[in-house]
Amino acid sequence: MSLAPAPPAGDLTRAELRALVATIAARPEQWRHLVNHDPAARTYEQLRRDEHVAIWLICWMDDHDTGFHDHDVSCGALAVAQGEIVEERLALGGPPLRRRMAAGQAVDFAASDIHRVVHGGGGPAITINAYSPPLWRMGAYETTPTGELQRHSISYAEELRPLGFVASSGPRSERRPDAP
Amino acid sequence: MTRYVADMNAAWHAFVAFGRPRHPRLRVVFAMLAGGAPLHGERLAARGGPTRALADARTFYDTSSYGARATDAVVRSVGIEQLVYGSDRPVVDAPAGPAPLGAAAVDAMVSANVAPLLGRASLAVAA
Repeated sequence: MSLAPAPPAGDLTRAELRALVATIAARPEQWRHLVNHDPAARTYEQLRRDEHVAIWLICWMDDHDTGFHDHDVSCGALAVAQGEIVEERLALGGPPLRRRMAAGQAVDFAASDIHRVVHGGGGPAITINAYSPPLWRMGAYETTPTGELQRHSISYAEELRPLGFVASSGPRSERRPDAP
Repeated sequence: MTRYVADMNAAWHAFVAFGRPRHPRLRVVFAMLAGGAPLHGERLAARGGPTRALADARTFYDTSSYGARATDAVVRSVGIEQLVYGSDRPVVDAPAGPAPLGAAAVDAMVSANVAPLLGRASLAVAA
């Protein structure tokens, strides 16, 4: 399978990652045979990995939720190829910044961003995700019953899932997709 | 101690330079993390070596001799999909092993990654 013309010469920028996932998401003939939706959990297929970038196909169904997490030293991007997902950025002292994304839309994120991605309801969803440099360690966030925020350092091999909960106070603001 | 580490390192460098081009579909597993050779991938690439040495879905590494820190360093270079658990028994007691890397990483190394190594499941990355 050829998902890019040549291995990149260095790590990719957020803009390059976003363009990459948008391109792949628009070419289902390259990955349709790998789609596998499981009601119990998200499923992953690694489409490519080299020194500079790792690209994944992720299949989502109802209630699938990564929990809040970061990507340690990797920046990334995701494009929705089918269905809808919701991305939330963690904010202290207020509700998360929320954006709903449908097929054809993409978002990128810095290594320092803390976000969560959940299935957007409706039918099964598919996203194409890319990370540069390839994921290694990740941070998974938990809110204790007394409100303290804790970061757990985990291998990227771990399945991301909600740890505890992060309280959201007041109505959530929903931004338009691709809003800055 | 012995020259094992240097020998494993040399074997990996020889394989990526000469062995892989001759045997592009061969599945290979290097014992003892190939002496940590994948950590030299950047140096190799900077000197005109094979640019795909670290992106080889048919090359695996067993973790014998090493603990969580060295194993995690190689995970960073080649990805968890290319590692399988190995012990040094009966030469020495097995080191603590990869348990500190987490249950999913251990499951990958002792179970999930074995079938692709043995040709009984598709490789982690479509070639």
